[in-house]
Parts: sequence; structure tokens; C-alpha cells
Amino acid sequence: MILPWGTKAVAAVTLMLLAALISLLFEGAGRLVRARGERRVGPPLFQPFYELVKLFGKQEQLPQDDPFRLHHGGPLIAGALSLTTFLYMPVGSLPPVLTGGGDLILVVTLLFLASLALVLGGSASDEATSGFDVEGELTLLAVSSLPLAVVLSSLAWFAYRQGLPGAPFSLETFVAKPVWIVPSWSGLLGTFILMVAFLCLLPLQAGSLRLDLFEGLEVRYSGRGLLLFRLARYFRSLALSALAVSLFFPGSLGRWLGLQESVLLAIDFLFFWVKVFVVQMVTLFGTPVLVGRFRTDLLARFFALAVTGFALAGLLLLYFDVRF
Amino acid sequence: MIFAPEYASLATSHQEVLNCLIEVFGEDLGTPLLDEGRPSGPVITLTVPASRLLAFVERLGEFDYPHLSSVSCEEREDGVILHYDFSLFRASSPGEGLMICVALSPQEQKGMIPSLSGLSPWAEYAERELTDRLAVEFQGLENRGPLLDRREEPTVPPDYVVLPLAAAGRTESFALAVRLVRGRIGSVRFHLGSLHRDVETLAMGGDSFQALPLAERLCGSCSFANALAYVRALEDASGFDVPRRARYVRSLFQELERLSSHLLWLATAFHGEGQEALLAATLALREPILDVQEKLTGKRSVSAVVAIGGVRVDLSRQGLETLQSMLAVTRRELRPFRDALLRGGLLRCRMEHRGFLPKAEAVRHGAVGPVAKASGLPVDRRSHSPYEAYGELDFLPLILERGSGEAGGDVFDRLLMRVMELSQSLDLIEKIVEGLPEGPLLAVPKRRNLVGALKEADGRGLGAVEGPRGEVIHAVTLHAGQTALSSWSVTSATRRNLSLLPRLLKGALLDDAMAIVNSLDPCLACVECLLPLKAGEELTEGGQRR
Repeated sequence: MILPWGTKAVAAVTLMLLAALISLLFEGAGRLVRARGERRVGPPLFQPFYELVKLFGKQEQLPQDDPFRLHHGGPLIAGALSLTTFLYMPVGSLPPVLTGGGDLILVVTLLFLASLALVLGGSASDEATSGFDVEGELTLLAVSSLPLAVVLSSLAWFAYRQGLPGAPFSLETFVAKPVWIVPSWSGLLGTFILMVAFLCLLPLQAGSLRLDLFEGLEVRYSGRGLLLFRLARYFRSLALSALAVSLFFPGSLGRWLGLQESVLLAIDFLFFWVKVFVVQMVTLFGTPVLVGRFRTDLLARFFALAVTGFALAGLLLLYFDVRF
Repeated sequence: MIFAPEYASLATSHQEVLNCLIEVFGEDLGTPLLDEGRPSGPVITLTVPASRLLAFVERLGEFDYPHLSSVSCEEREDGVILHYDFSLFRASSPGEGLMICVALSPQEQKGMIPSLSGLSPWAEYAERELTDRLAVEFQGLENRGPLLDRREEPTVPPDYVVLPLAAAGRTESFALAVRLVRGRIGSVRFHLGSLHRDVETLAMGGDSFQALPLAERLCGSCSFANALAYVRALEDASGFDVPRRARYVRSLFQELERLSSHLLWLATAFHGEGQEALLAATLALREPILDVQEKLTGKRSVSAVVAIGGVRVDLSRQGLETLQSMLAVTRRELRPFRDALLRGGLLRCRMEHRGFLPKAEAVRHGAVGPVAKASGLPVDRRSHSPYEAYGELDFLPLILERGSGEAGGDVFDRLLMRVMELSQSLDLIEKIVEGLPEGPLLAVPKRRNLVGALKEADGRGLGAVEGPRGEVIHAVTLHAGQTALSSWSVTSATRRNLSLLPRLLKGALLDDAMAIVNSLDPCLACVECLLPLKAGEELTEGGQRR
């Protein structure tokens, strides 16, 4: 479906605004889920909205030595990049606002750059300990890139070899025909393993794991800077969950119910966000309750060896599926 | 000097220990006195010339690891008397503790006094405190800086990183800075002083009764242990015989406090590891214990149970019923909790092989409490020098050994030790309730008579108890005809275990620092409140006295 530029611009702005609102709402719900998991009552559902207003009016401590304005620039860029990814994602049965043959690579790159921008923003700090945080975050970003690359390239290769319609590195390809319906048992198992590996990566990529004793980069921010930092994190979390849904849970509820046209679009639109909600709650808010605080080196070893190995096992199973 | 870890016993009785010492040091020991009938347990009191202090301590090391239990002072008109108290737990036979109280008279201190920090690292803090307070010079004391640093922003060298202790659930204002060498901790500095209250000087103004509420408030989680140690020191000096029922009640409250303190520690440890669900579960497990304390005393903490010569409250029938139901609930909840910890999982993976303290190092540093026991050192005053009702309860100190018989000693072992102590405390409470005798609660019910008895007391009294964190020792000096204290000194378990911190942190990853610090269960309130000022002295902004 080719939309005129004016319509595209309106759709893009509307979608990004909606994604921003939903990310705040999901953050509020996620905090409740985490609190209940930790046997706490938890904050109100709209707490992130209240914080938004509160932080906007708070005094801010800015670093003395920040010639490139990375302290604010990092989160700003990260937020913008994360929201941009929604333009390439099919939302339910709606086509993406922008398309291209390699949009999967583009989305992943944008999210990677968003993470990098947040780390750079956090590094612009007068705190003596910021070096350790940045070092840790960059290490984890690096070690999680390998399994992520294995998962995505395995899926693309599998889509290509199975003859799925569309470009192998296009999100629309995975949404149009879910990878689950193509393979045999070995392929199904391989896809399942790749999905688990991808979902394992989400908390790390979204920065929702409590890593070290310095409580991450967030403690470097205050006032409006903190507001920007948090918003960037919320947007990135939502974008990662939406990517997981597009790759592994793309089904259409409307078609299954036999709905037509606008009702189909509306139901699938809502269904998409429900799936994103479930993925986000389970992976980004549920998992940290179970695993607690991780030590950076243990986590790095886990992702570099265990998750990468797991993803390679998935690739091997897909290979067997294609070959035999 | 390295103390033999297995402590071959050279003596068969306390008298033989004394004879061996006399044989070596002869008349240098003054008029040594062995008193086996004191409420604080068998004590040898003697004097040692400053020039032979080190040789004396080394000689003690041949009998047993000589735990330097406390260093205190007594100001007199003719000068200052220094007191060193050593605990020998197996000098004559296992399970029979012996306290050796050494006094250094003013005449003996004319030359420099040798520092014991080389033999017992925690002595450094005590010696620096005495240098601060009384300008006593110690020969061989490497760090002579003031112990008390009350600057709000302690100066930290630029290559040091201040650790955020609040991240590990510690709320104490304890500036701990580390220097990293190739990603690992190279050296450690810490500053004390933010919680300074100078309780000892406050107590000097009033009589010994008035100091009891102060002793109770030295610390929140070992309030009872401090109150009991203080009262036992007074009873030791004045020779009170505490009624049997009162001794049982005291033991009961000690175990309740241990349960409460260990569970609170576990909660902070879980919080430090990001296990918030376990934090909530542990605090929920602690609630029934606080309920019992409330039912029995009307207060959930700082219960004001202990009194000089006995206890203030009796165990009501309703309170005992609540206690029984608490025992059943806690036992039921604790078992799966302990089994889950033993099975392993993420928490074990996170804590194992971190902050390892070998048994020999625990001996050298004079480690106490669960920290020592987790390293395989059976140091427990409840069984080695049984006090109150513990002598009748028939139990052995717990020590942690791995499957191969090798002693443990890492952060996870210290956690396990506290969990094991929880079970032991529940067993002890059951035994106390079963064997609770009838009888009076106070040795001297009338206050007038009590004041009279205290006025007759003349001398130094020691009160040592096994608090939740380890041995707590209070030493008091009373003079005949007065109820006011001539001196009071407190040595908390943290004061001794704190010297382990640089040793344990050295070489550790920064990520492990909080878990290691937390595993010692440091209570800075216990340590800092006691650093004294002289009367009329104030602290300048730079932390100096004027």
C-alpha cells in the first residue's frame, strides 16, 4: 500500500506520539507487575506520567565538562531513534509507514545506536564512577550483539531458503507469513530456540536488568535530563518488545475472527499492542524480579557463551530443516 | 607471629595456665590472681610491663588463639591505666573459656607502649582512639591518624572511588573508598565519624542506673546484647547472683534478638543482590518475632527487659502462647527457605567464592560471630564461657565445613551460617521455654538495697555476651562509696570484624564489594557512638579536637 507523503507524515507523527504514550502506560503497568512480583503494592498506574510532570519542573545538576552536550544529547538522540523504529514496523494489519528491503537491519541498527547514545550520554558526567558504568554497559552491548546477529541472520536465512514472500531482511516478510507455519519439527524447535534467545536479550538491550552496585547510568541524571533519559529508555523498551512481536508473534486476530476492513484493522491494531504488552511485562519486568542483580562479568559470560551457543543451536536445527 | 590454628593445649586447668605464665614472666606479672567464681566466668587478673606485652601475647598464643577482646582505659589521678582483655577459649579444655585481664599501670607506661596491631589488626582502632583521647603513644602503630573524622565530605584521593553503601541496603554513613588496580580492588580506605554520639562521656555524668538506657540504645538490632553486657559488667563488679528464672528470660530475649537481627541482615543481603521478593519474604518472616517481643514487653525493639540483678518483665501465659505459635510458623517457613538456598541457584552463583576468609586469617584478625564460624572457627561465648541459662541448654557452637571437611569462609558461607543460626536459635528458645524455672526475677528487688550493693562494689567488671554479630564486651570500673561509673568501655563485634574489610576486599571485583561488605554485617552505630571526647572538648570542622 503506497501512501501519499502528506498522509505518511501525519501517520508517522500520530504513530510516534501514540507509541510514546503507550510506552509510558506500559512502564506504569510494568512497575506494578514488578512490585507485585516483589510482594509490594507498587506505584499507581499513571506514575510515569506524574513523574514526567514532576521532573520537568525539577532543578537539574549538569556536568561541568560536557563540550558536546552529550548529557542531554545522548538521551534525546536515543529517544528519537527508538521512536523512529516504529515507522518501519507493521502495526497489526496496518502496513509500516516507511518500508524498505532491509528494514529489519535498519531497526536493529537504530536500536543499537539508541543504546550507544544512552551510554554516551551517561558517560558525560562528573561522577568518578561513571567510567565503570560505561565500561560495563559497553561490554554488555558488545557481547549481546553477537547472539542478536546470529538470531536475526538465522531467521532471515531461513525465510530466504523457505521462500517466504518478500525480502528476507524485511519485517513485513515475517509479519505477512509467520515463521512458525513453515518448518517441520526441527525447524519449529530451531525457531523456538531462536525466539527464547531473542527474548533473553531483551532485558539487557532494554537496560532493565539491575546490573552493578552503582545502579546504572540513570543515577548520573537529574531534573529534565533524567526525564529525557527515562523517556528514551521507555521508548527503547517498547520498540524492542514491538520488534519481538513482529518477528515471532505476528498473527492476526481479525482474520482469525473473519473480520473485514476497518474492523479488522482496528482489532489487529489493538491485538498488536496487547502482544507487545505481554512480551514487555514478561521479559522486561518479570525476568528482573526472578534474576535479581547480576554481576557484569557473569552476565557477559552468559550472553557471550550460553545465549550465543543457544542461538547457534537454533540455527543448526533450522539448517537441518532446510537441508533434510 | 602465626598462631597455631589447631591450638595444641598445653594446660589441663586454668591454674596451670597461670603457672605457665608465672614460670616465664615471673615477678613481672605483679600479683596475678585467678578467680574462677566470677559471674563473668574464670578470670586471671595480672599486670604486665609494657616492655614485655608483646612477648606475653605471643606466649598466650601458644595456649590458644588469644582473642584480644577489648582494650579500655581508666583515668586516675596518677595517670591512665590501660586494660587489655584476652579471651582464651580452649586454653585448658574445649568449652571452658578463660579471660585474661592485663593491666598496664601508669608507671609502666613511661616508655612507649608496644602496639598490638601487628598481632591483632583490630587493635589499631582501639589504639588510635586512645591516642586521640589520651595522647597515649603506641610504638609500631603504622596509622596514627585521628580515628574520628567528622568532616561531612571526607577527603578521598582522586584515584579512589567511594562505594555507595546504600545500594547494598546499608544505611550507615560509612565512607568506604577503594582504589582499583586493573579492574580489581587494590587498597581500601574508610572514614568513621558520621554517627558519633560519645555515649561513654554522657554516661560518666550520671550513675550506673542511668547508663543502662544509653547502653540499650547503642544499636537497634543488638540493643539487648549491649544492655545485657553492660548489666553483666556491673553484676561482675558487684558480685550479684542473678535468679535462675531471670537468667532463662535473658537467654530467651537474646535468642529472639538474634533471630530478628539475622533476618534483618538477610533482608538487606537480598536487597543488595536485587532479590526484592526474597527481601519481602524475609521481612515477613521477621514480623512474628517482633510480634512476640511486643506481646512480651510491649515494645517491638529496644525492649528494656534487662535490669541490674535480673529482668524487668516476666513471661506471661499469653506471651508464651504467641511465642509457641511463632516458633511453629518460623520453623515451617524457614525449612524450605534454607533448602532452596542450599540447592543453589543464582544467589549462590553470585555469592560463592567471593570475599574468602581462611580460618588462619580469621584467627589472626580475631574475627567473631557468624563471620568467624563461617570460616570454621568455633568461637561462641554461649558455649565456651556459658552465661545466663546457656550452660544448662546443652548445645555446641555451629561451624561451617564443606563436604570435604574443609572450612568454608566466603560470602555465601556467611549467609548460610546465619541461616543455620536461625534454626539453632529456634531450638534454644524451645529448650528455654521447656526448662523455664519458677522463681524471682530480681536478685535485689528494692532499689535502695541495689544502690547500697553497687556502692559497696570496688573494682573492674566485665560483661561479655554473644550478640547477633558476635562477642560484645562491656567493661566498667566502680569505686566504693559511689554509684557513678569511673570508666565504661564497649567493644562491639563490628569493631573487631571491621579490620577484616581491607583483607577481604583486596583483589575483589568492584561488583562484589557490596556483597563482601554486607557479609560482615557491619554496624557502624555500635562502633562510632563510642568514640569518646574528653570533657569540655569539641570537634573542629576538620575533625580535630579542641
